[in-house]
Amino acid sequence: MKLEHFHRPGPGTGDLELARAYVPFQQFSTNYSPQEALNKGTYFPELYKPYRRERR
Amino acid sequence: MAAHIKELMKIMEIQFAVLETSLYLNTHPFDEKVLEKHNKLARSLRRLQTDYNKQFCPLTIGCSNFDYPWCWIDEPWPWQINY
Repeated sequence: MKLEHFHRPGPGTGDLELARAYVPFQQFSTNYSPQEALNKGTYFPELYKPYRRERR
Repeated sequence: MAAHIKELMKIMEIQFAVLETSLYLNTHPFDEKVLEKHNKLARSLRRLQTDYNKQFCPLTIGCSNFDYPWCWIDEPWPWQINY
């Protein structure tokens, strides 16, 4: 099997390869105040991902 | 809330922000804007800690400005503080 068979991207994934994990590079935009940051667990609004309880 | 707890909260907040900017800068060493923020935050952290250690019982055991009598064991343990 040719090497290119291993590197063919799946449909709709652009140039991304299958079976790889991706972490997009963080771009700094703005920051929380230190008070808000300590409460939210991050200084960066783009990283604030609160867990939400699922509705049943 | 007691005055020294308020100051302690401020220190914890700035300390967290300093930690956050440092982690960011580990992966973004050329972000000058955040680097400046980091240095500014670290400066105010140093100032807050120095003031706290002068005004209240020092925060760490390695501080060299303990007054007589020894105050360390009179301070509440971290889990005894109701924030």
